[in-house]
Amino acid sequence: MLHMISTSPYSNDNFIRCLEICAKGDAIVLLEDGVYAALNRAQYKHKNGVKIYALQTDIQARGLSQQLAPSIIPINYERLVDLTVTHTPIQNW
Amino acid sequence: MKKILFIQKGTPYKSIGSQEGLEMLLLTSSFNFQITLLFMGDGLWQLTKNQNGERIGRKNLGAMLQSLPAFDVTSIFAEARALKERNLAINDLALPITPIDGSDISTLMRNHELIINF
Repeated sequence: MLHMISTSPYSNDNFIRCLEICAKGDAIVLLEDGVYAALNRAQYKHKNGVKIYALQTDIQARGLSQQLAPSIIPINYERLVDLTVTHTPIQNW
Repeated sequence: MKKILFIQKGTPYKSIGSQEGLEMLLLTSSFNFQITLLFMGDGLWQLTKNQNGERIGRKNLGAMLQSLPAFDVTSIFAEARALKERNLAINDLALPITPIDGSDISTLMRNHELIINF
């Protein structure tokens, strides 16, 4: 399934809860303020087998391009649409 | 039959969101869907007994919840951890729920075609 995080991890614990309950094969997409969770400073317990993507336009808008954690996969909208098709159901945290 | 999971995450009276979520669920129950309701985090507060929303000019959410069985909505879950955090005992809630946690929540999510959050 697909998890979409659009709020900052510093404002609520949605991202942490999502990491706790997601399972192998799931995908997480960080978009809008969710991209603040993609940075190379916070230590999040990533789960094995769960890929974390982040929307490029939101990263660039916020001036974060040089600060992404290495495991984060930057994507464009088309890729996001692909993910919504391949990973169902979708949970909008 | 399409399976829809409604997740209630908000407190009952902060905004109109929780009420609208419940109204949408009740409306949806009149169509041919299989409906499951899950309470998470602060959404657990919607389950306290003896609510009196009228005192603040709102619709009584607790009363709305108690009408769920009449609408054939019986698949109702609540996040076990959130119950514990808020010191809510299962017998003290306005309607019968099944506690559920961690990976069981993601299994529940994965078993539904559509997930709607309020």
